[in-house]
Amino acid sequence: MSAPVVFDDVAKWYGEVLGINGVTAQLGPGVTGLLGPNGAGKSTLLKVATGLLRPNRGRVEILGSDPRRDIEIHRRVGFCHDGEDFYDTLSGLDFLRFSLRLNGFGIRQADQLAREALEIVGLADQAHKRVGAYSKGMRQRLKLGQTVAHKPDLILLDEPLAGMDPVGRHRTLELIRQWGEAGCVVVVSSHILHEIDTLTNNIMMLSHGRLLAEGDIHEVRDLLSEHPHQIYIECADPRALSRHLIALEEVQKINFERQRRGIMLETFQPDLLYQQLAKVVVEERIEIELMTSPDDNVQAVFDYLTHGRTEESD
Amino acid sequence: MPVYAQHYRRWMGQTTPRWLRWTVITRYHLRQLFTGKGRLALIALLVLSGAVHLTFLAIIYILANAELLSFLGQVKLPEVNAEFFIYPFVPQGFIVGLLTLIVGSGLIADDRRDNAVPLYLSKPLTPTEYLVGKCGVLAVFTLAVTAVPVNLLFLFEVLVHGGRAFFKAHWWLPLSITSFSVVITALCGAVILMASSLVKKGSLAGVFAIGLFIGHNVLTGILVSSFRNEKLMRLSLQFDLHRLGLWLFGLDDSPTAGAYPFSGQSAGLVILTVIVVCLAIARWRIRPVEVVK
Repeated sequence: MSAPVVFDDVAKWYGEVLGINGVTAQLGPGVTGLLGPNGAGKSTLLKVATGLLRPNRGRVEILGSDPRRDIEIHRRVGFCHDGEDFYDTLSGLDFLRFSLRLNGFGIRQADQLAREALEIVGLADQAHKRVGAYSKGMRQRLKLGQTVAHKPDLILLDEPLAGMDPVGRHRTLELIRQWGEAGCVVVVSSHILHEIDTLTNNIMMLSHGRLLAEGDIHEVRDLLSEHPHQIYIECADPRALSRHLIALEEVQKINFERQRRGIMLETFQPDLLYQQLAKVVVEERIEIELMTSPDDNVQAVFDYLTHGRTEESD
Repeated sequence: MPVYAQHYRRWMGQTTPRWLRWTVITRYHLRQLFTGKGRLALIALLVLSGAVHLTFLAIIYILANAELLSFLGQVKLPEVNAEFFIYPFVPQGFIVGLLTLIVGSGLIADDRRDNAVPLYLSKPLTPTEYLVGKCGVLAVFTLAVTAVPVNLLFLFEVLVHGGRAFFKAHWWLPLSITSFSVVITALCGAVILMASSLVKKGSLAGVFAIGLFIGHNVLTGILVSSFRNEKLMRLSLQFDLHRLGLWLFGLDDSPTAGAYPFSGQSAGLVILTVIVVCLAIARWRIRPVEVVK
């Protein structure tokens, strides 16, 4: 019996631009982290897996079927892509109902499953609010709801934590872990090593469209000690936020971004800092507009890995 | 080796039949249109269309009532025959055009702008079904102002004025009315969906469609006068549609049809070609992933 997700020498290029090349891997149940800097080919690989893109070479098999030939297999797949695929005039509940109806559910089933999904992603109290009035983090959570509402076997998440507030982030990580533990095949892409680190030990590392490493994350984790994790936060009053954060021993450095209303934090203990951050935000009632992490540290690790390899092969 | 719990169970209940899946898109858009900003314009057009049909209804009613007819005196009313039922299509053509622009221009363009196409195509739905769902939205409106009211007009004529004799002589008219309405719907739908698939802004798609309509008619006029060949008139979809309508309504021998230097069948062929080409372009443009080079 083959693995739920099989990539066999898969290549995809856009004209002269390479998306992915020669990717061969098998993914089983549980959470697999797809790690790579921006432009590494993570989104391309996920889109090839869902059948949205046709590979130029190689074979893709999900849940025993070719995703481009067996259209019904999509009912068993949940895909959270990186775009903003929303209709702002719909309410969150209506958006999920519509998505479920497209999956082939009847009106009553769609309503029931949509409400369940909103509950799961913590948007039940915002169900009737227009999506246009949702914050970035809420939209991300709604996207997650759309991905899992139809109870898929295979869940593909493309940068699911991008732009999420600390509370939503914590909740989402917990959900992803639960889905993996429940036996789902979950693939999570990210350019932030720390995010994947908190989710799973099982990783695939992509760089320049090629599969760079596959397996246990621990070996890579050590490399991080040399490179601090960066967190960029935008809020109405960054000075007030920084006053609270500077007192935390997890924070190594705070830089003010003059062009925007944001601050850049550096830390060697991202886990602890994210926890502290959530506490500060809730206690001080600070509304976070944007929270993201630049890929400087992961890029450094990749540079190290690729450079190291090149030197070895030389 | 990690051991995973197996308590997660996928949905094993019934789902809707695959061939009905596209209707979700149609229904969703219809709902959106009647709750969106353009609903007043839509309602106004539907009311205007109803007023046009009421005029024809009134004519049949007057013809059926001798007292009313004598009251009107010298006013000459048209005879109710096959040609009578093609008349409503002339003003309705204008209304269908406006409806097509309002309803159709954003159908694909808005999805492309919102990057929503992957949302559809990552579901058990093919690009063709997506396109059919979008066509369905237009079909509801265009058939609501053509096939439905004109067929009701025919029924009214049979029940109130012409009776069984009229039905026996013109039993095929509902087929003609319906097929002509379907051709108009398919043509308008294909052109606007193609325009909508080429841009990312609904208003641009509307401008593009109007440009195509005016542009190709102007070009036809130039070609006809330059080459002094009236057969080139068939390049105008407006003429083709009228000529095809005359053929479908059994009016091939009428003086109006005689004025055209080409047959109804050849007009139909031109229209069919345009529909196929436009839908093929729209289908080709429906891509789950936009590649930015």
